[in-house]
Order: sequence, then C-alpha cells, then structure tokens
Amino acid sequence: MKRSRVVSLVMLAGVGATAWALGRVDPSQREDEVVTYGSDAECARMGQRSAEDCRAGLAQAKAEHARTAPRYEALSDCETQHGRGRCESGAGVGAGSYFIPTMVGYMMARNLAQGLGARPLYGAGLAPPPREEQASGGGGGGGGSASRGMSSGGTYRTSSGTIVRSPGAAGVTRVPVSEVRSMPSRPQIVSRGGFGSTGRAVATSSGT
Amino acid sequence: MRRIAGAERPDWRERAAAAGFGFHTLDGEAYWDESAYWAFSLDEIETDIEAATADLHALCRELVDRVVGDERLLTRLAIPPIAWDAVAESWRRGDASLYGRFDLAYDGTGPAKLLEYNADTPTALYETGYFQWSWLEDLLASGDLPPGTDQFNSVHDRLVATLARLGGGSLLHLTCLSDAPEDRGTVAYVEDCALQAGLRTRFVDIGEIALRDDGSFADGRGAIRLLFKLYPWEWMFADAYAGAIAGSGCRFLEPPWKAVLSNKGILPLLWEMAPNHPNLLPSYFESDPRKASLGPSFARKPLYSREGANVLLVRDAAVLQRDEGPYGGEGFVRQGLARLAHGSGGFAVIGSWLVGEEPAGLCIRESEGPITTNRSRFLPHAIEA
Repeated sequence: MKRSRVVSLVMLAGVGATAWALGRVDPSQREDEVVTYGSDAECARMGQRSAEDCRAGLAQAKAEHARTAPRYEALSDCETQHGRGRCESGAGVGAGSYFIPTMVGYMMARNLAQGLGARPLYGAGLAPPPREEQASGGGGGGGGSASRGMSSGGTYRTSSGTIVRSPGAAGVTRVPVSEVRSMPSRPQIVSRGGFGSTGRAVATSSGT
Repeated sequence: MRRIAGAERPDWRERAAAAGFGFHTLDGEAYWDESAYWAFSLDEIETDIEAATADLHALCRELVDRVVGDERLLTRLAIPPIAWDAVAESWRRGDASLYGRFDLAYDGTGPAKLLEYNADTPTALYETGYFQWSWLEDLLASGDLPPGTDQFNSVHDRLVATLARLGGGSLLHLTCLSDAPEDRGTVAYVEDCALQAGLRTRFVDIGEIALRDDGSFADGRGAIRLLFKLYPWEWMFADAYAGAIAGSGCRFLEPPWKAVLSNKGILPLLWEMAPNHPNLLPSYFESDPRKASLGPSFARKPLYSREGANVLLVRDAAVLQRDEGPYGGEGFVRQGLARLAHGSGGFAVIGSWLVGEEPAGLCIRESEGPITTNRSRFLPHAIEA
C-alpha cells in the first residue's frame, strides 16, 4: 500500500488538544533527593540539617513563595489545583486582584553539598484537607514556624505545578533538580517585530 | 496516467468544513476540485515519480554540500552574506528537514522533468496528506472506486514520524503571516501532526517574534528553540533580524540550508553538475551566453518567486504566457520547455513530496495555462488496481 494507514486530526477536527499532555514527561531530566517539611521545627527535629539551615531554608522558601507563587484569576481555579481552603487572596487590589495557594511546607536538599535551594510547597488538591486546617486559614505569620496552615499529608505541588510525594508530611523524596535550582535571571526582550516586514511588503505589492 | 471525470462527493464541502479545510475555495474560485481525478499505474508511480524524486533529492543534497562553503556559488544564488553563517552551520550540524515538494512535468510518456523545487515553504500539504487521502477512503467505502485502488500518499504518516524524531515533549513554535488563510491552514495542519507526534506546540505570528538580550528569539512567554516557519528564508534574510538567526540557538523547520534549494538558481547548477540527467531540463543563468543553446523556446523564471509569479514562457520566440508579480530583482534563469500533462481541465503539474528525506506522495494542480499559479486547482489522484 502506497498511502498512510490511518490519518487522523486531533486539533483541526475539534477533538481537542489533549494529546500533548502525554508527551510532557522528559525522562532525561535529572532528579535529586530533597526532604519535605511542614515547618522549620519539624525540619530541626528530623535532624538532616542544622536548626540554622532549617530556619534559613524556610526564609528562602517564603521569599520564593512571594516571588513565584502561581497566580489564579479565580479562587475556584486555585482550589482545583491546590485544594479547598488551600488558597488565599493575593497582594493585588482592585483590577489586579488574584489568588495564590497558601504555602503549606517547604522542601530542601538533604545536605548542603547538593548546592540546591529551598522551595515552597503547596497543597496538591487531590484530597480535602483535614478539618482543623481548614479552620485555621491564613499564613505568613512571624515567629519560628512557616504558618498554621501546614499540611500533614504527603502530597504537594511545587510552584511550577509538579506533584511531589513524600512518605509523610515530612520525608525524603526525589524531585527534578530544576525544581530546587536557583533560577537564573530571565533574558530580557530587547525588541520585537524584526521578522515579517519583507513578507508584508511583498503581499501588499502583489495584491493578495 | 489519465484524467477520469467522476462524481463529486455530494457532501465534500461539509466534510471540508468539519476537518478545518477552510480554503477549499479562494477568492470565490474553486481550489479543491474533485469533479475529476488523475489515475496512474503502479509502475508510473514507483519508477517514474518515486524513484525520480529520490534521485533528485540525492542530487540536491550533493549540490547543497558544494554550495554552502563556496562564496561564489552563494553569491550566484543571491543569498546575502548576512545569511552565510546560518546556512553553512545548519548544514554542518545536519539540521533536520521536514518536507519539500518537487514540481514535475510528467505526462506518462517519458521521464518526469524537474520544473522547480519548493524546498522551503511548500503549501498544498494538508490537501495532499489529509483531504486527498480521505477522498480516496470515502470513494473506496462507497464503492465508487474498485477495491485495491490506492494512492501515492504517506505524507501524513511520515510527517508525524518525522516530527516525533524531534523529541517527544519538545516545545515547537509555529509561525507565518497569520492573515493569509492558506498559509495559516497549512501551519495548523503541521501543528496538528506535531501534537500527534507528542510535541507541545505554540503558534506565534511572525511579527510577534521578539529578540532578547541573550540573542535568543522569544514569544511573549519564553524562548523559541524550535520554530516551524511558513515564511521563506529569503524574506527572513531581508528582515531586520537576519543577522540574529545564526546566534539565536533556535533550530528551524525548514533549516537555513534549505535557502540554497528553494531558489531557481539550482536549476542551472544541477544541470551543470549532472548534465543530461533524465529528470532535469537544460537550464542556464540568464547572464550565461550558453542560454542561447535553448533556442527560441524556453521558460524564464526569477531566482525567487512564488505561485508562478513573474514567470515568462516563450515558444518559437513568441510569448506563450507571462505572469506578473513582484519578483525578479535578484535575477533570472532560463530553462528548456517541458511537456506537461494536458486534459480537459487544462495543464497538470505533479507535485512530488519529500517528507523526512523520503519520497512520500503526490498532488496534482491544474491550470488553464501552462504556468501553475495561485489560481490553479488541486485534483486528487489514484493508483489503479
């Protein structure tokens, strides 16, 4: 047979662009071990890192939270991703208002030599949170612990949306290194529109 | 090969609409035309078209290898110096090619002759790979074509397979001048194939592409590392970002080395490299005195042109047909005249596809005159059982 066996369209035929989600896992992405913690006190109790590292890690995770927490226009979108009661209003006011997930923990490398940063963890929205946590709400309080909204479950979402599972609320797990590597500063756009003018000029002159 | 008038599927317009084929009628004139089809024997397809296409492809690759390091030949082809690095590096790296289309003169009585090579931005891809294929399947299912009737058309299978080799999960950007419906339709089809190949995709209008301080290209959301562009290299090389292409870290489909081949200047260079090759027509640069050997009958074509624009056909010193247009500033080539298939629908030119370096299928366009223009009609074909 000299022709294609099966020809199908996924997008043009309006079936929906769902196929791409299957291709998202990049097996070549390197992973490393991190530990998830519900609070810096828990971190110190586990003894993998010094109490000082635990506090510094929490501070870094909070700073990252302020910088990189995913933003949602609707509370319902946020809660779909992170769970009911696991979201709060963002800093914006008026037209700029949005919702962000509440930080429920953080993850940090097992030891300093791994050279990786600490990052915030959010609810994964896979199961409703325990009742007492729903009631506590709020976050970002001072003092030694991250917040009263910390999770006791072992499934989290990172700020980029990756699911992280650990044996308990605190525990050793593996994540892609990109999740805990310090982010390089993003290249800045210097100009736009440097392609297309020749084609537009030809299209105009040929009257099409 | 013969032209067979047949019955149109009564509902083909609805089928076209349902499959996203919005440009089957352009400016009020039919483009997709299934009131007839061209029928081939298997031997015509395999010996005269498929094997010739593989031969021509091998010749073209040999020619690129000669041209990319030769400033004299690059100049001859009117490729500007600002593009030379990008062209040469993409060839040395072995940057992959997705597709290309040879336009062949063939009427079943002798070897197919290369009229030109649309190596960079060929259209009619969707019509070939999807809609022509579904035409055959429908007529087989309805019994209007006998069982065993086939088609030379693995375009869709090969597109998906070739795109899959770029790496599942890779982000492929796609671009064109998005206000051209035929171009936008072709890009949407490539995007569809890319999704089926497991890639992630994002469309960006060519005018929205930005340059960043690290030299990379970007859209509003991030870097462009892999870009399918239905916008010819000679235009990109004339645009403001021409000098940024080589250092952008972006891979292109088609790659910059295709600029060598999507150029009528290859016709005299191929003829010089392989004189009297059965699938080539004698060709010379207009500035070459040897053009006189073609006598009073020839085609004159600009180095760069699309859709037959600015082509001049002369037979026995009389102008047969002339198509006006905006091209020709870079010079012309002169090519011997070829005999085109002719039927009640006018002249027919065979488009023979390469996908991922393999002959992959054909499409036929008919025109009233011997120059195939953007007013030509697309006819389906079949291989007789």
